[in-house]
Amino acid sequence: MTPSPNFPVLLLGLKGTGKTHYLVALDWVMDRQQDPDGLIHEDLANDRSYLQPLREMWLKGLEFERTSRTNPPPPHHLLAKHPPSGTSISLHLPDLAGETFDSHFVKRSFPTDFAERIKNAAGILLFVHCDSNADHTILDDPALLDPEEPTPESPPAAIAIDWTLEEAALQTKLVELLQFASEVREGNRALRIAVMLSAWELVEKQDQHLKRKTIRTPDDFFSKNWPLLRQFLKANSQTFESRIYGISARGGGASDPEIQRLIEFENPTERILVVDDSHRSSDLSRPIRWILNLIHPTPQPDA
Amino acid sequence: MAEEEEEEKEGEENGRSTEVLFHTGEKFSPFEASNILTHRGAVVVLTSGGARSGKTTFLARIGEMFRDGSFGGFTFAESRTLCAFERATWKATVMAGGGQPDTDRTERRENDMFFHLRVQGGDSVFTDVLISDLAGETYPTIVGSADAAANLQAMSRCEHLVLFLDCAKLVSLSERQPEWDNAGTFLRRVHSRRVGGRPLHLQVIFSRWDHVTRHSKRDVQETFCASVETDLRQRFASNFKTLEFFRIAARPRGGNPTNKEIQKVFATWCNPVSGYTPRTFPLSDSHSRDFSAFTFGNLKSE
Repeated sequence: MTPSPNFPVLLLGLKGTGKTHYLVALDWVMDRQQDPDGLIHEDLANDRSYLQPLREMWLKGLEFERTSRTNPPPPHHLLAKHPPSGTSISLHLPDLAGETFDSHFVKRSFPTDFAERIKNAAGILLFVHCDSNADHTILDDPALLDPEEPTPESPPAAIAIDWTLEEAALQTKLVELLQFASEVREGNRALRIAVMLSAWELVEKQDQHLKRKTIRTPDDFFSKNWPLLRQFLKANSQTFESRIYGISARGGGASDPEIQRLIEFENPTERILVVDDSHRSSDLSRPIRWILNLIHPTPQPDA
Repeated sequence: MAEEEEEEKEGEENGRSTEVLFHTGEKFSPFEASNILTHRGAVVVLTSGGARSGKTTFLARIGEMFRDGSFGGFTFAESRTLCAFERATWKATVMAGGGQPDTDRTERRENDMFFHLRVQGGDSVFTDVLISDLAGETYPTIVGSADAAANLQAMSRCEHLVLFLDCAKLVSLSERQPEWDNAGTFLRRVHSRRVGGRPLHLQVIFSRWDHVTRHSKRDVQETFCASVETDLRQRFASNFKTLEFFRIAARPRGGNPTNKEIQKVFATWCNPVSGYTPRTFPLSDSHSRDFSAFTFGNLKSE
């Protein structure tokens, strides 16, 4: 049997952005694929010792512990098939801890093996959490300021702490990591980046709560809330082709009532949501299919 | 962490590098700035003015507008000095924990260091901008001594000079005349330093403009600033390729920052008519060409 073509797809995201939830839910979806164009399992990888217990927790609606930075799990291996084209794919999806990427930013370096992976990557799934602040809030709101200009008689103001690399804003860190990646890949073809807005259900809930006439698209949300990263991807479309996805892989929060709600689904696939512009499904393989050109007609990159 | 350090150490001992290193994210040294000049071309800008006249806050505000997506007409494409921009803004953020927005002063050792921004204009043209922020304490030194100006590499190389006139001083009877006078002397120093050199564009900024708009005698203050503008125009318009005036409050107390005016200044730097032509191919494999452009032929890479 000829080995399947190997497609290294990297997961990149800071801590708490839903990378592991995505991997586990993807594994589930590939077993119960409802989209006739979606990827399915062709076979099970030999070693599922990392994935199997997490899958059980996911089905019970439980939260996962953070992925360990010091003891990273082995690269997640999926033997997939794309039924419409008959293509067999071997997907390598290493699940690195978010702290690892923080450390790359702070140390201003990539380990050589990670740099090699970036160089050879078929694409990147870039995770951001819908509930995170992309940037720091500027002290310009009158409510946050002392009403009077300080005078020599004023009581001493609070002393601001000094900036350190760890304090950098999330979108700054991600732009910088992509700048590092573009240096590593200099001269290579454009790299596809699927931006994964995780916990997308929060955005839709908010839109419903605010009685917005139209629910925001992932691109609308991303442009408004992650502007520096959005501009960077748009301006560098020759280096990075990007497309924005709203993803709900866990399907809800971690409170007791939320866990109860999650386990009440008769079909756990219904917990999952993937929003690609106006297309809605539970096919978590869709962003990977976009990276691998397995969506027909192929949606144009957002940038 | 300990494991990682051990691995790195082991790698180093075996003579192989375990890490691929990247830029620091802090302001560029002249050597790093030269690298951009050599390979892409860039517009070089020098901001100058007295201590606390709002130079760094103005630059921080440019960074903030790109970060919050409000900068009109330009799209952020790259910055190799993102950490320097973050640092400039930090003390004006809630996270920093100070009760009032503040900006760290630029120190003398930061002279001839550069912020970097690469932007895409509405015409899809990319522009690299290198901005040197002259330490406030250096400004009176230059006013007092021609030698001090001679030692500034950014002053020799810049295409745009931005001079900040501090409105907090211009509204003060005791301080307004020295502020005005120093500006004139500074511009004469720059002109004599640049005679015969490449054309220089001058932007004069009435900074911290909210000190004028909030003043109980606003009309009087505005008239005074207008007479400073007229005087500087009469004396210096012929010495610079272009001369423009702006009224800016980058972080006013009450009211909104004058974002549009700040964007206009930035747009002036990126305007090809003001002398900037983006380089579309490398002109040289060696940095020496741009060292000479920076007039630091003897400078060696560190």
